[in-house]
Amino acid sequence: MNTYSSIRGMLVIASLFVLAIGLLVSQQLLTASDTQVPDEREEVVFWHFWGGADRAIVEDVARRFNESQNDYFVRPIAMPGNNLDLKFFLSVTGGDPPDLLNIDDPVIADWGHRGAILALDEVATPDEVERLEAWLFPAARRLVTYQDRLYGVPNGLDIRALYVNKTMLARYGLSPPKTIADLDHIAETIAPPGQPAAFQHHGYLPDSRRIWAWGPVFGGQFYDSSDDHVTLTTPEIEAALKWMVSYRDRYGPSEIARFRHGDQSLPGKTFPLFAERYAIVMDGQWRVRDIRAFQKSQADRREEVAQFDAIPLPMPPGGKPNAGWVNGNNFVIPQGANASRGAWEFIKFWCGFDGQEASAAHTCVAGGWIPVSQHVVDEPSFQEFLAEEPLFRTFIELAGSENQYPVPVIPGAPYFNNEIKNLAESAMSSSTEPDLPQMLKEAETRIQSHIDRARNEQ
Amino acid sequence: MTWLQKSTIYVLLIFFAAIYSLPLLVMLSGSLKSPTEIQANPNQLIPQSWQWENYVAAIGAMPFWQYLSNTLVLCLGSVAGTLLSCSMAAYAFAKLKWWGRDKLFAVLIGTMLLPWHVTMIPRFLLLREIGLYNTLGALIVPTFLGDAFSIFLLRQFFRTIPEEISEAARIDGLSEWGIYWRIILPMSVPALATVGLFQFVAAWNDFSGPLLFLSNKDKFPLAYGLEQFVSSYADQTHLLLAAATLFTLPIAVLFFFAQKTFLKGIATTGLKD
Repeated sequence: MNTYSSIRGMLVIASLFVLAIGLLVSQQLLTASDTQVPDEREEVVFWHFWGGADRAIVEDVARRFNESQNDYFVRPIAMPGNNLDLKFFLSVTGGDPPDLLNIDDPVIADWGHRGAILALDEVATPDEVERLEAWLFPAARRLVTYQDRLYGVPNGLDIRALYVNKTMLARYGLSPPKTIADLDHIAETIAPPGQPAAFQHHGYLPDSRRIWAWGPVFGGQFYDSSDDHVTLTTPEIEAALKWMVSYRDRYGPSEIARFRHGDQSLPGKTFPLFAERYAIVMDGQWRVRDIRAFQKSQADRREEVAQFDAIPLPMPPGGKPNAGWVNGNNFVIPQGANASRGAWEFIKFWCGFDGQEASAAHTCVAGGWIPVSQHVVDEPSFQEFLAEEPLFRTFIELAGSENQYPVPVIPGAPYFNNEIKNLAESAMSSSTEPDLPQMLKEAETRIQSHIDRARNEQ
Repeated sequence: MTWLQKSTIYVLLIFFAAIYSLPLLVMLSGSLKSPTEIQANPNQLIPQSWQWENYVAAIGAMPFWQYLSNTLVLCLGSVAGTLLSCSMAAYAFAKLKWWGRDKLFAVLIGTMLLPWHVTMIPRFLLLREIGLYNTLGALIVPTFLGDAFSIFLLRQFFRTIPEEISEAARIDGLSEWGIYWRIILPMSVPALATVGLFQFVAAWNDFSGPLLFLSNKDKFPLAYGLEQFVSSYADQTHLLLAAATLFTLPIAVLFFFAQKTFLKGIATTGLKD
């Protein structure tokens, strides 16, 4: 028994020893081949949040860049998108920041204000910065400009339009809206107010988050950068909010909440337009891909294939055409980056600046992304893509509009963003008649105070 | 117990087991569907066509073997660290008599109330100062300093071992180290297995630790690899679910084989009456 026990003990120890050696050897043998930097090249460590199918596209851009020149070698590293800001600040504290970061949060002003990222004029030549400003779409320029300096470059724009289920509209004898009055008419035709039973469909319901889009459509601005003031109490912003609240008056806050709650039960990320819960929904360009997949699955099942369109947001009288809310994913170069010049070269390559438009067009087509400049849109390969994908053309036209605005690029922007959305949500869900001028005035004071504080923090 | 009572209990157990296993079944089912089918029929448990190649694609879409190797190093290293440090501390709290022992034990238990986020930054700064940032050591070395829950668990078990055994060993001339190493540890295999299993699972699933301390992709663990299938615009849900199934499998198998020891450990450490 003792002999057996000691042999068993020896076997266990030997197994653990072999396992430990095996793991140590595997640590050496399995080191990723793309972490090797070719001789005489400067490594550019690039953190990004692109996962899923997009990760392969990002890695392909890096590969093409690495093949295109001899000075720099970009090493892309996919990081978790949800905590990328935390990870970034800890890496700065740890003295090991990346050379380039791509992030989808509106961080430009806050990080620029704190000195956590470099302004482009600290990396690029004055001539490059001046030409870049002229080269970018106005919306792209607005996204990355803080205190008249560019702090990054968007790698693409996220634009919102109205997606229309044309098949559903046709069933009611309706066509896509051109004005706000048309949109209201569609809503009232598909879901007549005062209906005794619970609504199964709605033509359109405004979403409180979309006040950022409807404000500019009604000709309003939420912030005046010339004197650094929040401007919620303008007639245009009040008109936009009043129009959104008119849906509350039409259907009642509880019906809107009930119907919206039903959207949450849709499995996965299924677009509510597919289930014909709505005839019209505002969303971004990435839904074009979902629509194509949906139509393909309908065709595979031999069902009638629904027809969709994407249209600009309809205006009220006196409103602004092709207006809306834009955001995007930005390249930023961290303070303390070892290879900031290499990072800048990679940004130019990705976005297509300085004669690299053809390569950028290839990237945007692969990802279904909106370019940041008309020069990339004009590339033949991108034009071919638009010919095959007409729904995308609306988003491209909107991207080039002067009337696309982001959440103001100022310190405290995330608070501003949330407060405005909360304001619209409170007004739309209020059980009593909301006093809109008073609500806007109170929110303006509150947000202004927060922004002033954020601006004075070092 | 009558036949009817027994049947009722079984029916209830099967009902609750089915509810609890539903997320796992959805994961398994989704891992075998095509992307189009996941979009079109997310709630259908039986796939229309079984896409076994999802598993091959999931493994190929990331440096799976490298991440697995990193994960195993993290798991085994932290299990070794936890068992060694916590059993020594637990022995001191359970078997040695010294001034302030119980007060210090209360302080130790009190540290369990501290949220992880509170110690996150100091821990980061400390590990950076000693040069462990961006190494697997940043996640392994702290386990050699013990953790309150494992110490508590082992202390409870050690207290159930009769004091007469230690006394007899002392009379026979065994040192305290000898008693700990040659008497107490061999008698505590179920409790050690329980603590080891807990630590293994914690290290296997750990996402926050690697997020804080690792920046090179050749050091990432599997938990981090799963994130790479997630995207704001183009999720690869079918591959994510296949990778998640592969990720979950070893833990399920480990629990399956170790459950008797594990339950025995739980039952004898005061966690279960």
